[in-house]
Amino acid sequence: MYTAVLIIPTGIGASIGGYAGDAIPVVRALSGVCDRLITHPNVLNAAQLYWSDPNIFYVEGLGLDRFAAGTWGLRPVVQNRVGLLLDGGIEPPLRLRHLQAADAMRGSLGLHLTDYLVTDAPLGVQLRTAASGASWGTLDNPGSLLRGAKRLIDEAGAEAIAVVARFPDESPQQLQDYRSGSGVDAIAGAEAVISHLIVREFGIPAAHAPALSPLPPEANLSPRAAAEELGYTFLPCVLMGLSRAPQFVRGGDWRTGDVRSPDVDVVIVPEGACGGSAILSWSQGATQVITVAENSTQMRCSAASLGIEALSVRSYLEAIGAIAAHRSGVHPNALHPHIAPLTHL
Amino acid sequence: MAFFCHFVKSFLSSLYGEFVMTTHFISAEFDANESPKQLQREIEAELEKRGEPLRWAVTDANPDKVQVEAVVTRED
Repeated sequence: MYTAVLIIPTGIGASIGGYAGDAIPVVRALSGVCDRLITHPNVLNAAQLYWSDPNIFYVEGLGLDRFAAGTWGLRPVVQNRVGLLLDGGIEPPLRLRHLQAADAMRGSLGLHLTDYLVTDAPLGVQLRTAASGASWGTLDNPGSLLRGAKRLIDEAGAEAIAVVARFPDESPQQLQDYRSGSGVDAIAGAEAVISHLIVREFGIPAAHAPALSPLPPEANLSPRAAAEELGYTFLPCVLMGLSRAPQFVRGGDWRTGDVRSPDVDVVIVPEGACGGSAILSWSQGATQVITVAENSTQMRCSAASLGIEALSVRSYLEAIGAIAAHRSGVHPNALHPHIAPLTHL
Repeated sequence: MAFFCHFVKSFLSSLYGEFVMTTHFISAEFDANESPKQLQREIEAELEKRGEPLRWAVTDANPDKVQVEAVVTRED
C-alpha cells in the first residue's frame, strides 16, 4: 500500500489549506496517485462540505504527531460512534442549530451518534496571536472539556468526540481578511488546543467545530473561505470525518492491518512549515519528504534550515507528479531534458 | 508553599472533579547546529520542564538559532 501523508498545519496562514477546507482539491488529486492518504482535520474540514473516501484517513494533529513518532499506530474502522460535546457557553438558539445539524447527519447520512452532552461550565475560549503570526488560544475551563468527554466515553460508549465550543467574535479586520482569502485563521490555533487536549487524554479521535454568531452576507468573499458561509454550523464535516477516523493503537498492541509510521512512503508539507514534530520524526527514516513552495505560510522554517533532506517542488501539481514517479521507482531527475552523466565517486 | 499549592489543587479537584489544569503559551530558543533528531529531543525535554506539551513547532530557523512556539498544560 503506497501511503502518503499531507500536512498543512493549522492557524499559520497557509495560502492553500488555511481557510475553509480549501486543500480538499489537493487531497482529492493526491488520493488518485496513492493507495492511502493520511491527513488531518484542518485539511479536510469545510464546514457543511466534506469529502469522504475509504482511502483517506482523518487523523487529528496530536495523534498524527504520535503516529509519526512511532508511539501510536492507526487502526482502520468501518464506523465510529461519535459523541457530541457542546460548550455550556453556547446560546440556546445556536445550540439548537448544532443539534439539528447532528440529527441531519443521522437522518440523511446514517451516522451513528451517541446522546449529546453539554459541558458543566462554559469553556471560555480565548484567542491569541503568537509573535510568529500563528494563531493559538487558551481555555478558561479545560477540565470541563475533559470531564464532558470522559462522560461521553464512559457512559455513552463514544468512540470519537466532536466538540463544539463557543468562540469569541474575531476582530473586524481579521474577519474581513479571512473572508477575502488572506491573513491567518484567528480561531484555528485554539481549535487545535481543544482537540489535542482530548486526544492526548483519552487516545481516541476528536475534532472541533466552532460555534459562531451568524454573519451578514459579504460580497467580497473568497472561494477559499466560502464554505463557511453556507449555513449555521461547521459541524457536518467534523461528524463525517470522525465517523470513519481510524482509531489510535499504542505500541505493543499491533494487529495485522494497522498502519504504522514506517509504512508512510511520502509526506508533503508547505516549504516553510517543516518545523513540526511529525516532519522531524519522518525526516529520520526512509520516508520521502516533499516540500511545496507555492503554499506560503507565516512560518520561516525550511527543510534545509533544519538539515532535513527533502525534494522541493513548486506546486501541489508538481508534488503529485513527483509522487507518481516515486511510487513507480523513477528518479525525478530522469524526467528532465538534461541528465548529467555519472561521475567517479 | 508546596503544602498550600497541594491544598488548593485538592480543593479544586474536590469541587470540580478531575482534570484541573491551565493552558500556557511558551516561546523558546535552541541552537541550530543539531540534527533533526537531536533538536526534536531537546525541544521535547525543555517543554516537559515547563508543563505537559500539547502543541509545538519550530517557527523560525536561521544558521545559529531556531525559535519554537508551544502550548503546554500545567496542573497548577
